[in-house]
Amino acid sequence: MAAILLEEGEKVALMMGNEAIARGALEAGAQFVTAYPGTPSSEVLANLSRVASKAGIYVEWSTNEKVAFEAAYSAALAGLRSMTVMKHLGAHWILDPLAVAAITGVDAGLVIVSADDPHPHSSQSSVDTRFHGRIVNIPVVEPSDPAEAKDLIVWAMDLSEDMKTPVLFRYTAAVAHSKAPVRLGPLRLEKRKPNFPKDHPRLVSIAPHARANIPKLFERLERVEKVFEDEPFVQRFGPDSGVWGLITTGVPHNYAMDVLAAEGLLEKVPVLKLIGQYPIPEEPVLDFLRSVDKVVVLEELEPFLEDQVIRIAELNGVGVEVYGKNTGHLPRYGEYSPELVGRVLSDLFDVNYPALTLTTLDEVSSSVGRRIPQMCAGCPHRGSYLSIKAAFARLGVDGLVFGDRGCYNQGSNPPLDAIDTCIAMGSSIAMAAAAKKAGETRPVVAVIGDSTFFHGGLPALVNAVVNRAPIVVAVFDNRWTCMTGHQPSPTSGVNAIGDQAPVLKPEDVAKAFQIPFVRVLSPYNLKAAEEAVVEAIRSAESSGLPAVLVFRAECTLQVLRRLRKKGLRPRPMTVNPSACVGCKECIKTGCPALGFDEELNKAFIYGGKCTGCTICAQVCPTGAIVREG
Amino acid sequence: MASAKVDEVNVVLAGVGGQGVVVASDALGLAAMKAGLNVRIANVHGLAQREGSVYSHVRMGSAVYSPKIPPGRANAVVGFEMSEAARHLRLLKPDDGILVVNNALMYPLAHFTGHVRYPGREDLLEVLESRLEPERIYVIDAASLAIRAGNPRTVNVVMLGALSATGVIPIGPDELVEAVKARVPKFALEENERAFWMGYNEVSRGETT
Repeated sequence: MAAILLEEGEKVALMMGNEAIARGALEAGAQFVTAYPGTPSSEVLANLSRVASKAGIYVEWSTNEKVAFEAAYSAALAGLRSMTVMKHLGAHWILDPLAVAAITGVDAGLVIVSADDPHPHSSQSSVDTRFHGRIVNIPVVEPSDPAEAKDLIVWAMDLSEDMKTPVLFRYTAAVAHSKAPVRLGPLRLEKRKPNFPKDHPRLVSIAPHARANIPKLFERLERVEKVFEDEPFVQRFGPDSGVWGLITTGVPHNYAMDVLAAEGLLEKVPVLKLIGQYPIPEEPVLDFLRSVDKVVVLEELEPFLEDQVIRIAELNGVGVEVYGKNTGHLPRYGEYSPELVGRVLSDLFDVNYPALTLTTLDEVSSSVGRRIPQMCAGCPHRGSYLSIKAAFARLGVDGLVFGDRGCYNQGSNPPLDAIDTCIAMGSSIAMAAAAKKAGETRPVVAVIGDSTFFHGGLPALVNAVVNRAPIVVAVFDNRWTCMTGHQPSPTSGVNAIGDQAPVLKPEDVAKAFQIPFVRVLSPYNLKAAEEAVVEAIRSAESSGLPAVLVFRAECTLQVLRRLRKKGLRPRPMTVNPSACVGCKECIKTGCPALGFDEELNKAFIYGGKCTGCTICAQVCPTGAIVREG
Repeated sequence: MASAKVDEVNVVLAGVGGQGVVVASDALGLAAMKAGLNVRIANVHGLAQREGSVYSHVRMGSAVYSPKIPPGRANAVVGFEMSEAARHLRLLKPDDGILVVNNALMYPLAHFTGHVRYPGREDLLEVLESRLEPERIYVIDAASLAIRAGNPRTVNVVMLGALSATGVIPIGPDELVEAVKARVPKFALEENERAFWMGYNEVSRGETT
């Protein structure tokens, strides 16, 4: 699909929101694009990286979002149009430099793309990152569908360069992962030469300089508000006035339009869509509020617009009734849906939206239990977790396992149930070390993947060493950033555009940090791994310092992909029914290639799913699992 | 072939990771776009490779805005797996929406460990059949047809063929098969084309159970 990104000429293509944003970057003259992968944003840079060389632009998967932001900011100061892409959690990491960038401004366009996950589908929290723009005082914009997302990247980039300020482009999962027809615009492949300014009063942002520059930030915002007063940043639909009106932004705009269309209300209810949300354009909002008696504000997560609308109405003495989150009609959390918007508007407008007819079909749907995600068949993390559990069992301790962010989250699900926390990038090591320093007597293990280790684990590991925390740090090194779609990690040996890069090894880092016990092992040899975990726990206790275990095996999906390309497939395992006693020890490894026949009281293996990793054979007490053929 | 002037046709495609739900919805969307319809697709595939549920809403018509299908507005639910079909049944139009379902039931691992209990295959089929009139349900043995087509991974295209033969979507089968070929890997064109017509013939000849 990436080929479409460089197509020229009149064309409408079916594009995913993230793909459309990638195309938008190429139409916006973005010459320098950085990202750290994170659902639901990952496909933006993944798509751009496939065409970057051909387009002559620079892209990188940065070590973390803060680095990604600083890189794009630096390029924008040097005169290159730049973009940086991250999920909402990553956007939390950039606030410190972003606040300074807001004050210094930029010389070329800089768009920060932040993907929120209101549900959340795949995040540990769900914060409305529009506030990040609000806190540091930079413009905030939001698209409502893939086509608008593409155009808005161009508008935001132009705005950023014209106003010399970074612009925050917030969008949500439903836009990121939905698809719609997108009309391609002309490509703008810039070939600017960098010229980093020596502008000390601005860029050496020490306090006196910051004090002098902060007022300029607010002057810029005033100019932005003027721009936001007109199309395309504000759009009006429907009649000029009405009893009810809607103020919308993002994907809820389209849910609302669907409801209005279904109810024949498109010509009766005026709608004000605000693409530019901060600073809110007071003039058009005021005009709109004066044209209706009551208004519903539709936006996902916080009452970001709603509170501003209430303020504008109040300060200008407009007696309009404002409905939304403040009145309890709409929730401040969770992903919106046509169902929710339909229900709320039906109640308020006193119409019966057809979607509300509940039937006996609902019962059937609610009777189906959730499909609990597992680590993939053959995943190396399974063996790593089993060996940690086995080591605890052998030592007769109920050890603590601090988890981190990545595929190995699935280790928290039954039946493995192998981790006790899962908080934020790099939290495992910091919290594990703190547990020991607070006096925890049980063995403490921190589990962290290779990409997360380099993203946020390093400062915590240094902290654990210098403060002498006797913990075991288990780095699950599978060579890629797998949870988000196998982007390169510092351990991959390639970068975003496929150029060779040095392979960084967590064990070398650990040795450089003077950690006395550092061991590299295979997660597929359970006995040896269990032994290593026991030794690591003892070493940490005796040395009073962290012990580092690197469980190394490449992600199975990557291995299988390469095999498939060569026309090969792995030799699966199989259950010998006469030897199987039905004890389910194999099933308890949580491998989805296994099943169990209750009538026969025997386990079985789905040959098509099994990768032949042998973990189940190693836990089988009767030797019933053998290699096929 | 139906004209491109339709208000709204909504199709839910639902399965588990690895069944090709997203590829099938892309093909359907591409074909609808080519037929001059507006298209919106919503995908949920975050845990596709981790045994999770995967589904796709495809909306086609002159006036579609939301990418998600409101409950009770789906003209068809196409279940690549029985429990996933059941999960999305609530979206079906209560009076005349149809269900096209592959008769496979794929238990999640947690079922075998007892953490989640899924119904038996026959029981689930009975529930589905009890809620819909016989002319609104098409049960397909898509796995066997895919193997006969030459590739067990073509279950998704078998299901698209079956959907096409029901006449619910405003796209002709030849147009849909072209869209499938534009979306699947080049080395697998023939088996996908065969898979499409196998699913199509299964429904058009009334061979569904």
